[in-house]
Amino acid sequence: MEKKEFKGLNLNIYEETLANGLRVFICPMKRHKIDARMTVHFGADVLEFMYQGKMKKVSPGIAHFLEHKMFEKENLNISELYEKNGALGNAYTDDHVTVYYFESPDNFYENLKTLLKCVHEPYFTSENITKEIGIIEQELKATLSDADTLAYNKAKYNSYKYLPYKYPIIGTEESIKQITKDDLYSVYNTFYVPVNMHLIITGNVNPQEVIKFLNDYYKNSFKKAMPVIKKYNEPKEVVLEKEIISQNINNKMCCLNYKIDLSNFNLSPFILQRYLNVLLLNNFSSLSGFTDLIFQNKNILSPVYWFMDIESDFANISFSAEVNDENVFLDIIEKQLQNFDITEKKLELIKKNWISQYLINTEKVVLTSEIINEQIIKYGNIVYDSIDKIKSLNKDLALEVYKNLDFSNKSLAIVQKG
Amino acid sequence: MKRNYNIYLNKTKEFKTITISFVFQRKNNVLDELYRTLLRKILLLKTAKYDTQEKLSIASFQLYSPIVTLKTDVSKDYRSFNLTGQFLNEKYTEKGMNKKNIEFIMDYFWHPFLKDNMFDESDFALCKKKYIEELKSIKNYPDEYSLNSCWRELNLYEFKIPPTEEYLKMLEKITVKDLYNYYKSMFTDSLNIYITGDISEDIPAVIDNYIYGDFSLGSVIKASEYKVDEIKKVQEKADIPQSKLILAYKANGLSKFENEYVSLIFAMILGGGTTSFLHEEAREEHSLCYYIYANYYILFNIMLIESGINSQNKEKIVKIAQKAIDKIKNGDFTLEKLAETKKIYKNVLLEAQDSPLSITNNLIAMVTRGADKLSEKIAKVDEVTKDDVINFAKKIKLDTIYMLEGIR
Repeated sequence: MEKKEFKGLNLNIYEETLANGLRVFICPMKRHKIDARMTVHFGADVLEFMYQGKMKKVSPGIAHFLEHKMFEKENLNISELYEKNGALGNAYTDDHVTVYYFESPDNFYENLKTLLKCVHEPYFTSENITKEIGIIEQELKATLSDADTLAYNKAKYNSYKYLPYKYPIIGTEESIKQITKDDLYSVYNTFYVPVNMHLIITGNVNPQEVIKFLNDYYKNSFKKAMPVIKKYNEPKEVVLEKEIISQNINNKMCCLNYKIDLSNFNLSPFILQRYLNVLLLNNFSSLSGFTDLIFQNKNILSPVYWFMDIESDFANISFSAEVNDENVFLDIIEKQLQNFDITEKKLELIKKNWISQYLINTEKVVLTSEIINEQIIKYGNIVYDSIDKIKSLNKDLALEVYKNLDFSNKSLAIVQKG
Repeated sequence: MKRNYNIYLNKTKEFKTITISFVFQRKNNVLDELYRTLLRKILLLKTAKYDTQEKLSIASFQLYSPIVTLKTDVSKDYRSFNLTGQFLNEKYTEKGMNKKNIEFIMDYFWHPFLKDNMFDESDFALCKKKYIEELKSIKNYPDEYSLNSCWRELNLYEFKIPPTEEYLKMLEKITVKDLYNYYKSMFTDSLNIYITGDISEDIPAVIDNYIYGDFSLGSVIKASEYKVDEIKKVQEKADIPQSKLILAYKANGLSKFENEYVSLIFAMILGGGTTSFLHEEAREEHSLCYYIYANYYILFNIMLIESGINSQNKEKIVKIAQKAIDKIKNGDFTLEKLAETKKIYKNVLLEAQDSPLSITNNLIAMVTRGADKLSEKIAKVDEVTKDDVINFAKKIKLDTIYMLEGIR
């Protein structure tokens, strides 16, 4: 086991890779709450993979469906086990991973056993799959009731031709009905292997004891092959540039989604994403007067929210707002993207802000776990020198990155009355 | 020195941050919500020192990014306005930062941006316009809309909450002068200040030197009493794929122990988690919904059961809820279930001690409504018996069935 220091944050992390390939990260913290989260590197963005020697295709929404079903076992329910031990246990699926976790101040090893049971003991039957379809349909309907979710889903869908990333994480009404027991077992057997997972534990625990417990638990578990996922030759262009969706709502909801090719950049993912964030913070936050501009514009009726995600070689940046006139919205965003100039002073402020956020967030157990997990998911490892790397960002490289970004591929979705 | 406000300190070396909350409190009236929402918008825009959001943002980043929030809380009779700031202790940044951060936070209320001794006319007009649009578009957000509509039907205050259209008319009439007068009147509200963190001796003095106003000391909020005669049924339609159902219950004649502890254990057994009666029956047994939960509101002694369903299943859910409450009334739950629920609740209280914001909020509850200390709460949860939960179930009555019917 290796002890590493998250520099500048007063945090130590113990790293170990077990014989079966499971990577374990333990961050001792003197708090009541202990957070443990098992991440499976399988999310909504995978729909085709090698299974039993050939490529298998599954329906959109399967990762999320599988997450639901992992809580059901033959004679018990995982939630019941957690609740018996006073823990709150849950899970979520996003485009890239599925995360199972619990939070509790006591019965740590009992709860850890429950977490491992949850991810390693599948129990799927045709009957329990049919039952789950009804539940997920209601979850889907809840998301479709929100105009902003509807606009975002549509803009993302219209941006990609092949990447399964285009589909909503939850799937569609049609796609979830197509999921079978065999499909679930095929994705489970391929992706829910320790070598394709990692475990993070944050809180008042003894790292040596935890590793001993895990080695005992996994004594009969051996290392399997890493999953092989289909690669796509996704074009740079979006599929559809504009779509209007009719719904009986008061204000128009717009989502403008940019699909930006990053394949030509030769920077580490951590550094590249920081520079993209520098651009967004500099041009689309109160730091540059953008919020003043939006506030004073009578055609923009709500704050403008933006969100950036990386998928394959693309940065997916979306901007959403309630508007009177979508052309005004489009024009403002485009103008902000056309000009990027940052002063040394502003860059220093952005860096200072990020470092402050790290310090504030790492006094909390859950946020510390989330920071660690986000780094492992995005960059493959914890970036222990994150603060030094942030300090090293410079204006010239920020401008260079900006010059090489192509904002010409975008898709606009408008939800409006009609 | 003699203060016309109280400062409550919670000194702890557990955190890197200092959390400070200024809580203004006054009797609740029908226009408070409108005024305070407008005030929140205008005060967060800029301050006397920083007259644009850009300058304010730069100043905030220079102070290591304090988090500043303004929110309103409401009980049956009282409404509070909370200005809260959380910032890194200067031990982790640089000397002098504690004072600068406290003054920066206080500036949002004590030194707002004014023009000729008045809020800026154009800022006010824009804040009002955006607020009007928010109210108009609330149907875009069915969860929020249905909760607001149901809340209005419950008649929880001494006054009636008007429907959105009427509220909009009232909002239209508010002028910049009205808002400024309302703001000035807050300087005679009761004020309590709460601080959590590794607080140095000089921090209360920083506040004392910077504060002004004729504040008064607050009074304790008491539990509500209701009359429930017959069940009210309200149904609205919306162009959404899912219907939102809310069952609202009121409770009367509760002791403080019942209202603060038994109620929450009851709501958790009924609809608090994935092993609750409602979740097991409505979701797991009949696949009627993705979510169904029960929430108890201590300040109002009411409980809401909320669920997203297909409209034709409304009666099924109402029956399931009644059956689940009857089950508890009849004592049809095990002592093991009670012990598990108590354990979860105690763990939540234990974990709250990890969060400076939760500690501060509990301190506020201790002062404003006589809540117990977090550590005492854990012992009180242990005292809840099965009979207490059964008796509580008998005191809760269905008041309103509200549904926003999805017609898409």
